[in-house]
Amino acid sequence: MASLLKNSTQRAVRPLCRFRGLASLPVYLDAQATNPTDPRVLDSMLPYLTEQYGNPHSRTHQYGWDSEKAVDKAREQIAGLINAHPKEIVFTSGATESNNTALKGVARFYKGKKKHIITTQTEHKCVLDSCRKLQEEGIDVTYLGVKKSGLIDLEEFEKAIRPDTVLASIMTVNNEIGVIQSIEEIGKICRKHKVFFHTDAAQAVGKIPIDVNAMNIDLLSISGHKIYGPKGVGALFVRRRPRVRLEAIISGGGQERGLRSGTVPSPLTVGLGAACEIASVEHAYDYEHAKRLSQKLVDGIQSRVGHIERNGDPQHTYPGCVNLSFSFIEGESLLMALKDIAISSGSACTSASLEPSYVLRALGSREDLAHSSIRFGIGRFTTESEIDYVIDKIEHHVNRLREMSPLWEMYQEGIDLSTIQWSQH
Amino acid sequence: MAVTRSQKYRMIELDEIKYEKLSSQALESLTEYLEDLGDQMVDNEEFDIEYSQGVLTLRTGNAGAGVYVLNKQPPNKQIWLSSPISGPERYDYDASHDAWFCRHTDQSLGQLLKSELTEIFGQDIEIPIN
Repeated sequence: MASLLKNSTQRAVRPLCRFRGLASLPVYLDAQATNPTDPRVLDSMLPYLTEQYGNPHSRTHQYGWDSEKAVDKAREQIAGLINAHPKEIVFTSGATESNNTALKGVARFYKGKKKHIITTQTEHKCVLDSCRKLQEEGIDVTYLGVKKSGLIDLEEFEKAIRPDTVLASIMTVNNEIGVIQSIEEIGKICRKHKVFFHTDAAQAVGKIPIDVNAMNIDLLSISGHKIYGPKGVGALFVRRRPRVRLEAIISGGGQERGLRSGTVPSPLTVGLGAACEIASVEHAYDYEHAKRLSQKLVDGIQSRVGHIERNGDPQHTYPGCVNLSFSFIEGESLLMALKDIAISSGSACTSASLEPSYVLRALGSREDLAHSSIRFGIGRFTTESEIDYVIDKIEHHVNRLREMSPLWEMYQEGIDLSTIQWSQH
Repeated sequence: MAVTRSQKYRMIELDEIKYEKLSSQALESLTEYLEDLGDQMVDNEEFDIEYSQGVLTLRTGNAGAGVYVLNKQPPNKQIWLSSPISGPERYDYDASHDAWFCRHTDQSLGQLLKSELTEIFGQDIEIPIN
C-alpha cells in the first residue's frame, strides 16, 4: 500500500501521454465516458501481464496460487471501499455486465413468486434495455419519472412498490447530468418493504462515500475505467446477509461462486483493486479538486457567456459532471467547433443516434435546450489551466455560433421563440 | 456388486442420468437449507456455504468444528463426505427409502449430518434429506 501511494504527495501525477508532450491530443474533459488509467494502477497490473500470468483457478502450481492471492487481495480492496465483505464481490467485465446480472439474475430467480421491478427513466441504457428484455419474459416494470432536479420523488417511489415487487434499480450518480439520488432514503424504503435494492454506482464509487450497510444496498455495480482503473473489468456487490439469490447469466465452470463463470482476469482485477484502494485514500482530495475546477468552469462560462442552463440540481450533483445547455445554438455544432477539447453531448453509448438525450427529456428539458447540451467531465487529472482554456474556447465559439444563429437574432428582436411555427419542407 | 453389511438399506443400480438428478437434488436442497441456516446465524461471520461444480463446502465458522465437504462421485454413483468429526465416508443410493446410506454402518447421510450438525451448532437441525 505504501509503495502505491509514495507519489501521492506529488500531485503532478499525469497520464503518460502528457509527459511526452503530445500537443496534438485534445484537452480531455469527458470523464464520464472514460478516464486514463492511473499510473499507479498500471504499475500494480504489469507483473500479472508479464511474469505472474497464471490462471487464478489453477489449483496445482505456484502461478495459479500467486494469481489467486492477487485476486483475493483485489476483492478485499474493493470491498473496503464500499464497506462490504470480500466474499460479496463478484468480478465481471464491467458495469454493463454487472447491471445485466443483477437485474436479469434476480428477476429470473424469483420469477415464480415476484414479477415486478421498479427503475427510473434516467437509468443507463443497459439497465433500461435489460428491463425491456425482462418485460418480454413477463416481468412488469415501472419506469419512474424524475423531477426537474433529476431526483426521483420518494413518495412516488414508495407508492409504486407492490407486494410482488422483487427489485428496485436506481443509479447512484447519473452519468449524463451527475445527479446524486437519495440513496440512503431509498435503501430504507426498500428494506422496509423487503424489496431488493440495486444501484448502478459506476459513476459514484470512489467519488462519493458509499457504505452498502448504512445505505441498505443489496446489489451494486462497479466499473473499472470510471475510477482510473483498466477498461474491461468491473464488479458486482451481492449481499450475503440477508442473502440475495440470483441466477447466473453466464454458464460455464462455476467461477465466482457460480455467479459468473469464466477465468477471472487477474491483471484487470488487480488493477481494479488498486484503483479502489487509491480511491479510498484519495477520494476527499479528488472531490475538492473536482469541486474547485467545476465551480471555476461554471462561474467562468456563466459570467462570460450567459443564456446557459445547468441540467440537474447543482445541490445534489457530483461536481465532476457538469451538463450545460447553451440557448440558441446547436450542441453538435458547438462540439465540432471545440475540436481540441474532448467533451460530449448526451452520453457516449447513445451518441450514435441523433435523438436528444432521453435523460434530458425525462428532466422536462425543452427540445431546443436538450439539443444544445454539453457535458463536461472533470477528473483527477484535469488541471486548472485546462479549465481556463475551455472557458476561453467556449466563449469564443458560443458567441461565434450565436452570431450566425437565426434564433439568437429573433431573440434579440424580442420575438418569443415558443411562438414560432416550424414548417416542414 | 459389493457386499453390503447394512441391514436396513439396499443399494440399487443407477444409470448416469438418474444418478445425476438424485445427487444434484440432494446437494442442492442441502445447500439451500444450510444457506438459510447461515443467514439466521448472524454472529457467525465465518460461516460459509458454497456449492459449485458438484462440490458442497460447509465452513462451520466460529462454531469451531472445521469444514465439511460433500461431493458427487459419478464413476461410483456415490456421494462422498469428508466430515471434520467422523472423517471420510461414501454413500450409495437406496430407492425404497429415498436415502443415501453408508454400507458399513446403518446410517444415512441425512441422519449423520443431523446428529453432527445439531451437536456443532447447538440447535435442532432439520436436514432436508433422509
